[in-house]
Amino acid sequence: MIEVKNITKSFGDLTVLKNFTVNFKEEGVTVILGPSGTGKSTLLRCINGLENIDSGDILVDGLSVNDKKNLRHIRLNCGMVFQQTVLFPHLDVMHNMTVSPIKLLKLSKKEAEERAEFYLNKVGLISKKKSRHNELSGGEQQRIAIARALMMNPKALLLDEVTSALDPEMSSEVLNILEKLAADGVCMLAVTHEMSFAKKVASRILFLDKGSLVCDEPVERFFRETRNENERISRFLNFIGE
Amino acid sequence: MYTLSFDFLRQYYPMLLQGAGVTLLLTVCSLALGFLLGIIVAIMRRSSSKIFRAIGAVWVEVLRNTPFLVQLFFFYYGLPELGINTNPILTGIIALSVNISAANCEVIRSGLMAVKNGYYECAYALGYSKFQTLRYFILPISLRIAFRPLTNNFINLVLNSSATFSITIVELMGSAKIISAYTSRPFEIYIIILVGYCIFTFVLSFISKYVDKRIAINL
Ligand SMILES: Nc1ncnc2c1ncn2[C@@H]1O[C@H](COP(=O)(O)OP(=O)(O)O)[C@@H](O)[C@H]1O
Ligand SMILES: [Mg+2]
Repeated sequence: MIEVKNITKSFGDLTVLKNFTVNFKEEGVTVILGPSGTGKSTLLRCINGLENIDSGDILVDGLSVNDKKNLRHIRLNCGMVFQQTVLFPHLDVMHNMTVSPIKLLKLSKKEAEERAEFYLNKVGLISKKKSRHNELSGGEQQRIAIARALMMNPKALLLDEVTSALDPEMSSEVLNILEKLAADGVCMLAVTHEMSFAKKVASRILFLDKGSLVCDEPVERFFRETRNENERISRFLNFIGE
Repeated sequence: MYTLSFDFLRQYYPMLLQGAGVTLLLTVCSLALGFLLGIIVAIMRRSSSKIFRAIGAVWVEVLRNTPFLVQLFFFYYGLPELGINTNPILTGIIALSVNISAANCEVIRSGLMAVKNGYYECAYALGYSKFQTLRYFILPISLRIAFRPLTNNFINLVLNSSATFSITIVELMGSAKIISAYTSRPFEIYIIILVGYCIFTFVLSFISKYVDKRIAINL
């Protein structure tokens, strides 16, 4: 579904991703770990074309990000949720949910609202459908942002540290939602530092360091063996208190 | 001692009302045109193209550093030289719109600058094109931010419109001049006109406060 083929990405003199290759299938949750500043966000942003890659290619659903014409299709297929949520401030929750399916997928208002109610129920926030972003807690905003991404029926969700800006209580609300979605079979690529989430929900772990892939393994093996075999990984896990 | 007498009004009020109507026509048309021009120039000033940015900057600087009356005469005498024959009202509307577009541009531009990059990225990530992002999110957000200063510009526009009597337009000010010539009661007539402009702008600012409350957003 997503094929990252030997990409290189730099900002000026700083090479963030070096000859990076990885594939993602249409199912399961892949958790991306690594120290900060190693290019995890950059990888996600390259996948949906928010950053241009210098060389190599990324195919999403067989379409290359290097061709600008494909970007809309790619972005509709890869919903993205950021660390800093951005609900559009001039729209209430319901309109934040429905505007994109109406404008981009040409759904009718009624269809869009029905879909929105379904997903708002899913994230437990149907009662907030008339609220504005400033009337919601950070965790609630993040759950809305996830629901909003799901409105487009993406094939995969790209999640970039969606709980990092939240306190533990709010982040567990968000992680519970993600766990439910994973159980529903939603494909996710999640950058996170939440190890309990990774252990419980992920099927596969990628570990990035300094722009390259240090390991790519099933979750059980990663936490049972690799963490003891690889010095860099064990240092990282100890550092974040795992 | 001078005694005020408003008796002439009985005969001349239709002319005053007509003048007020022309003022309304001038300002409403220029409001719409000046608003659109302001958006266009603001977007030009934020464009990645140097040429657009330069054109936008020159546009704003020239208009903000020259008297409106001069701009008005420039269009009044200049447009026919360019082979564009218009009537005075149209010329007035063009001059007023162009004039207000500079001030509008600046407040819209600061509204645009207040919109964080995150909103653009979020819209792009959802699959919107650049134009759609501007149209559905960035402009609605920044125009709400810019709404109050925009209405201040509009009030200025109403006041500036009085200068168009000098290119033969009989708007409120123009009708006052004519009436005062007929009646020799300039003091009274200008009292009425002053009050008239005051009411006009008070009503505008009242409406603007009300609307602003309803559309205000917290970023
Ligand atoms: N737009 C940018 N311009 C310049 N440098 C950037 C930009 N975005 C990211 N970087 C740099 O690229 C490196 C990787 O960033 P990022 O992908 O955000 O790391 P991570 O998400 O793993 O913490 C960092 O050193 C960061 O400073
Ligand atoms: Mg990051």
